[in-house]
Amino acid sequence: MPDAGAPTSASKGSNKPAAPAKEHASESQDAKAARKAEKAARRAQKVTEQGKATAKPSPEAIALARAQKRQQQQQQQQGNGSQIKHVRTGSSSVPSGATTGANASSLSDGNFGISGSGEDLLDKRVSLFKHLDSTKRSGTADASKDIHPAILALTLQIASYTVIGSSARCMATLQAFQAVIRDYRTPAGTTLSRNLTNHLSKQIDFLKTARPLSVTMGNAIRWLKQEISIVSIDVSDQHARDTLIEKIDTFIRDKIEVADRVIVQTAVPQISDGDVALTFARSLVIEQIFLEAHACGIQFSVVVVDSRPFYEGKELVRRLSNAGLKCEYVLISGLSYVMSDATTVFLGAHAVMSNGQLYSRVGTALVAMSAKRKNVPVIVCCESLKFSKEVQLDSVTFNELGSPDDLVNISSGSTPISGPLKDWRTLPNLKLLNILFDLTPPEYIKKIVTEVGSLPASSVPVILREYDRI
Amino acid sequence: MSSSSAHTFKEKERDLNTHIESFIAQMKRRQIKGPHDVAIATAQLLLRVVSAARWTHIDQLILQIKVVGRRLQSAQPRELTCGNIVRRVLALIREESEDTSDSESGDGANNSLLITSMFSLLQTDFDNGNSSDNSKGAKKDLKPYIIEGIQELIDELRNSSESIAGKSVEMIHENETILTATPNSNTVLKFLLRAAQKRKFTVLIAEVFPNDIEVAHRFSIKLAEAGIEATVITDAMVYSIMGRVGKVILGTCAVLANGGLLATSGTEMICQCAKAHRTPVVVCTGIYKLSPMYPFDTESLVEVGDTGKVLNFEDGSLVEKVDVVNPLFDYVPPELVDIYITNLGGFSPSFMYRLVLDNYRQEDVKL
Repeated sequence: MPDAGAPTSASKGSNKPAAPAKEHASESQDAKAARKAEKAARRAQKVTEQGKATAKPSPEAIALARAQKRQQQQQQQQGNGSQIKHVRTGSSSVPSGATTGANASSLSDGNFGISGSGEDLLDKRVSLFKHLDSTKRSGTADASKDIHPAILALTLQIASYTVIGSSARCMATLQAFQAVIRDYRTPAGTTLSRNLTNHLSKQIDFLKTARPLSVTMGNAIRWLKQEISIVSIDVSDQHARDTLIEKIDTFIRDKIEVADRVIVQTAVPQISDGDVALTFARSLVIEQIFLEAHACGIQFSVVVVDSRPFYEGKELVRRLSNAGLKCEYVLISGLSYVMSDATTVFLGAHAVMSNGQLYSRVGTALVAMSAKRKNVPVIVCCESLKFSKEVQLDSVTFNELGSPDDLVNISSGSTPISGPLKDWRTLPNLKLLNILFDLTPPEYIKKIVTEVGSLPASSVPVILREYDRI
Repeated sequence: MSSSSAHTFKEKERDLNTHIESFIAQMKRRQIKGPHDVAIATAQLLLRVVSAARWTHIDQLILQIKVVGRRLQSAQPRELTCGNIVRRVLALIREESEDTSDSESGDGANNSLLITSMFSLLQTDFDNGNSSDNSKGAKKDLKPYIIEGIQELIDELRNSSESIAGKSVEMIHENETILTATPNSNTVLKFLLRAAQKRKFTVLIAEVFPNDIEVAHRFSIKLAEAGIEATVITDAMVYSIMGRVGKVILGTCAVLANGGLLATSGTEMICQCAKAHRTPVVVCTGIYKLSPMYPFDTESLVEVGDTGKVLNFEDGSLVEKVDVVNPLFDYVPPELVDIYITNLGGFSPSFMYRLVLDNYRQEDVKL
């Protein structure tokens, strides 16, 4: 949740000053300014470039080759993005304005500095995951004029994994939508309830170019569209806008902030003196649980298991150890070494499928499986906003692909070091796979703690049904 | 005459001692590491020891080798192959001496032998019939036989990965997806490369970050260059992709007498994962990695390495406050392994104890 600080202020000083966002506040002021400047420059560039592009006679280029060329650029962009992310997490003193600027410029480089060569034609997609065409990423230069600046900024932040985690992304998105709604004026001859949905859809489509929507975002958007559709034609534009913005605030408060507080209260009693709590990567609600349990004076230690390429757990372990908690940090390859000491495993979620499968950061399933084998209870903590109506059986049919170039870096530090794979694209048989999520079967999960109570994984569809009735 | 020979003997002994010392130093500095290199170096050193040794009774030689063996093993207790080779050589010496003493004292001596198995019972009988005539009073002649035996052992070490690779075609079918997580294993590399001559298949390589990442990446390049579809995945992705994997092929650092094994960290969770998905786990290993030890204390087998690879020291403030662990090995229990492919053929984990009895003598298990 604190990560949502940046987009909060990016969306033109939202009216909700979330306490943990303070540390980001000044930083993101700079970011905002830098981003604005950057955007202006890019717009200008785009105009000239479009002229060129249309003047160019379209060659006999195969569609596939084109798509791949594009894909590669985007992967490069993303690679840059993630490097920048490393810098950010490495030292918080780096002004985020500078990094965002660098990111943006690399994006535009990717769009215009086409380094076409034969090797682009190599199909570098892993055959098993060819159906997941995640990499249709476009730079902000492709944005139509309808796209709100707050959405542009958020798209960049999501694409570079600066805003990461499903709750954080959901909050940031809703806050960006508040800005969109605030600046929205209903055109003559139509009504807000009809036109705003359209307008939002365009924003959402653009947002999707960064990364596929998270389940939380999907749920929130569905709710928002529903709210918009029931706005009466009789109320004034201004009043409708104000109501919607307020409703979004309430939604964030109820579904995420208060929900988290309830989850923390339910989960803290699960930790007792002398426990060793193990967690994987970073979940905001898990972090709050540990901090709260520590504040309650419970003597326990935390094992944080982390993985490449995001190292999200590093941030968690930093926050926990700063609070004075006894922490142990290990990478996932050392999992079986630490699992024998653990007494409880706490996991966050990206989503929970309606057949009880937990869809979360890749590696979660391994942790849950090891815990189950060692008879360590696995407790999943998530807001009911993360419950999805979809069913899913394995991690291959639906997933998200990260940039394969993220795997080239072999350093665990903030400065990336290209290992032996730096020329992997020239080798025809070599592929790198970077998927972001995996699916944990319900039999590994002891219980799911939500704001509506603790339940077994099999009860997810029940909760979804109850929600529908309300 | 006699004084000069004593002089050369002393010189030889000093020479030998420096060899042993330098071997120990290299082991401690990890200039010799990895089971294969350690095995060959140990065998070569023992070859020197035997050729320099002088003895009147075979027990003296055995004692001498044991003393040296104990020193070598304590240099790097977790390189189990070093001790394995010492035990192999000891078994070899005992066997040679028993053969000769049998033939000396005639058939009656058989009864005094400690018969450990039906197999050895049959074998000694068989040998007796053959060799009863050719060695009389062979105490002095034993040395060339032992040296020959050690040389055969070295040949076996050199050829083991080749003979394992010979079985690859039987294990891999066309269009199969293989997952491997031990990129530092030369045996696995040769196994896959040999299979690639006859089959077309895909190999997924788990990177084993942070300890073997560079090796893993180079491993994947070697496979790709040989025409195998190689896909690098991070360690965390193993579970999500395991459902599509046909076989997990692993190398190992050491195989223990109960059929369990020691391999690079991360293998245990991968084997668990394979078990959860009913994917067979194939372990390629030379028989020299088989150790007569039972893993009563698995924690003591696992070595812990450089934490700087896990959490970079530039995160200094964090390193201070947080316990960082970087285990180098994993112990994989026998129930997670389906089959061992060795240079002697394929065996199930429950059979490994039998191979231990075949290759080592019970009295040498404790050096």
